[in-house]
Amino acid sequence: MKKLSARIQVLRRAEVGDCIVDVAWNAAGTQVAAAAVHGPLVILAVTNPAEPIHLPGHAGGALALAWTAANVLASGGQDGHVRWWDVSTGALNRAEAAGSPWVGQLAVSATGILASGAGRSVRMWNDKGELLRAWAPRASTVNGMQWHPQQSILAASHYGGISLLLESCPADQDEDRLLPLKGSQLQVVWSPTGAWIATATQDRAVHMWRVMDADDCEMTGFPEKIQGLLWYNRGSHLISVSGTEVLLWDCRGAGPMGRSAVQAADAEVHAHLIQATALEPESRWLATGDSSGKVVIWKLGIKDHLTRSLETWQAAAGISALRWSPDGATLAVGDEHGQLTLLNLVGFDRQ
Amino acid sequence: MNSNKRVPVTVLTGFLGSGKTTLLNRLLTEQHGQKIAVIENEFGEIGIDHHLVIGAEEEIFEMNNGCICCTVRGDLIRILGNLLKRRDRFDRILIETTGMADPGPVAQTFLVDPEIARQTVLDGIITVVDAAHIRQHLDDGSDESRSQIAFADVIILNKIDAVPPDALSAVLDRVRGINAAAVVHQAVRCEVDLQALLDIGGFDLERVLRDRPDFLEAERGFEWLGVFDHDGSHKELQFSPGPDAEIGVALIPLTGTDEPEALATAAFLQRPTPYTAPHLLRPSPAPYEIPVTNAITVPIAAPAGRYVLATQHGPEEFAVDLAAWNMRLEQRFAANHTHDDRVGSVGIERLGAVDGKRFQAWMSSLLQTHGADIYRSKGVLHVAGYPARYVFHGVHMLMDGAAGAPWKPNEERRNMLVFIGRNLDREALHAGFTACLA
Repeated sequence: MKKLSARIQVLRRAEVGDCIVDVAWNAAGTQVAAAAVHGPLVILAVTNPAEPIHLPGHAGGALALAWTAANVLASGGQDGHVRWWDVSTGALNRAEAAGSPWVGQLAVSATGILASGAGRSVRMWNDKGELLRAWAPRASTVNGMQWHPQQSILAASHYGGISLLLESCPADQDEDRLLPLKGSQLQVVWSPTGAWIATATQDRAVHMWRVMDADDCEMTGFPEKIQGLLWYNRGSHLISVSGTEVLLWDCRGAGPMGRSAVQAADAEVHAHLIQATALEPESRWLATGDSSGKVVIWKLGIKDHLTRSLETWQAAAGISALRWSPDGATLAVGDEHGQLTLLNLVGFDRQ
Repeated sequence: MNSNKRVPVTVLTGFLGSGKTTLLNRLLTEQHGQKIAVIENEFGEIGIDHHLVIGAEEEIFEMNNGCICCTVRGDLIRILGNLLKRRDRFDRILIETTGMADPGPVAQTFLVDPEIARQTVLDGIITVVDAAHIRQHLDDGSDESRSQIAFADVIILNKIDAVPPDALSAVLDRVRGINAAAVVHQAVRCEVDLQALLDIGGFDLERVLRDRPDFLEAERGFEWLGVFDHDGSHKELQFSPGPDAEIGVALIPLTGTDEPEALATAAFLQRPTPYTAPHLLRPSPAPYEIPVTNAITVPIAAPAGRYVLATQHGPEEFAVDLAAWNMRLEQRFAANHTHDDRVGSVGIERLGAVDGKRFQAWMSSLLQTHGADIYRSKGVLHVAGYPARYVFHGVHMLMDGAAGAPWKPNEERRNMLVFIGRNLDREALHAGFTACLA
């Protein structure tokens, strides 16, 4: 590993007081928001030297963040509400009950529809915060949600499988398809073309479906629950992060069936449990952060199916959230002591 | 993770009306020096000072790990995961279950999920029992109250002022019949020393036995003993096939002020010596295990003197005629494997070193085949070649074990195990464990 730490620069910092549970960038990549486990939110401008904006967030604790417009941040928490904040003034635009006290999931579609997952309830909202539809309760609490990359289909994971919810179907007929799977499903991710859908399960497995025919397969034997599940390079590979291990599954052609996973080179770079993972939007770099506060930037390349660690950075506390800016130039790092740090990566694309 | 110390977790169960809420309110309002994070079974209004109160909606999940009885509380995995990000805000976690809840899924959650297993330790399960109504609940066939009692490390027998003293002892017997290993506090309005509830160490069987040294005594390995004077003449024991394929028999010299019962108890703690005909049965500190698949005659060889003869089952069950032995004293001990509830406890206490591999193999096969019926298992073992105690506890098919305190020089290294469950086969458990001794 080359020692080139000068190429990671700390750009800005902000404090939010307690463990950061979620971080979200606005679409332009000019502002980043962080939510703290005890409830408050903070918004930090990337280049503007102005003081960070502090928002009260959610009584009982914040759980999820999503930007719904250039100036509007939505947040969910343990007060049972989705809240829309005007980040230029710090004002609360709107607050709506989401169907359960635990608003754990928020996701924005390509067309700007916000989906909220609160307990077993899934609701969809327009950009003004008006309710578009409230779906019938799922089998259990929704653990993960992600929109199809191009279409208005929401995948929601829960006990018993993955619900596929089509936002555009007529209001009187819920288009509600279930990919059934025994056990509790945690996070769910679409491949970038929408051809595959993958879920990480409570039983420490990764399950994949080909969406077209629901043909499926499962990868098992992980020592820990899957922390990160990410599609690489237009869906050619699925990256799983579990324990201290980064694995690449070759999903080209017929899928990963019968192929063994490729372990990243420099596999020993994390000595502690990986707690946060983020893939750069262009699939150039992967970031992982562990319980000791170590952040590792990985260079991804499918040549030889190998991945190697490129650079590391040390935070003062365990890493709890990582998010790349839309242009991939800045990494937002949230830690367990409530520090939000923006790291600039200089010259990485020449690697 | 802000600290490497595992957060202790207490589970509070009990029927509606048992006084569980009274106890919860005491834990949240009285001074006991600990900050508690409470996970309640509904969204409540108690936002008390420095405590954290979180509502939960019970979601029971089957794990997909090939273990048929492995159910967990999915909501707890999610809530605990979030709570553990704020672990500097509290000293312990208390989980209140609904009145009708089976404590199994809650307890198994702490063994199944690696993230939670790493950061928390199940300190104990407290069950509040309404002394005035529990017998009726049990007689009505309430599986929930039976399993809540069976799972408990601590039982608060509450509302004892509503029960006449003689009825109370019957209630106590009934509760002990289901769970002999739990510490039982008798109380009115749950007035129990809170400190004793906040540091239970329920998986620590030695600690349970310090509080209740008589617990395993009820598990003495014999049902009958007789004291006789032997003049040196020929004697023999004739056994006919009985309810079991073998019977343990101990012949122990009785001298001075020795208590016959204590001698027999000590003998049955030893590993039995297999007996083969036509060998002579001689006085020994350990019992013989006599196969009785067919009628068998066992000749006795002992110098003249006074002896204790103790048998694992009543002699009449194997048609042993002892009329000619002129017993000076005969004592019968209740067979402890029969009671009116199908849920009960089996304790095992044995000296000797355990073969670690054989024990692992036995436990894993036992839990695979009978795990659905075994609610809880706990033990402290002296494993051969291992300088410290091996302490384990299990819930159904799942087990968690770790090194305990090191053995002191000259300390008696005693293995202690307890199984609490449904339709337990006491003999098979004893025999299975005995076979694990090195």
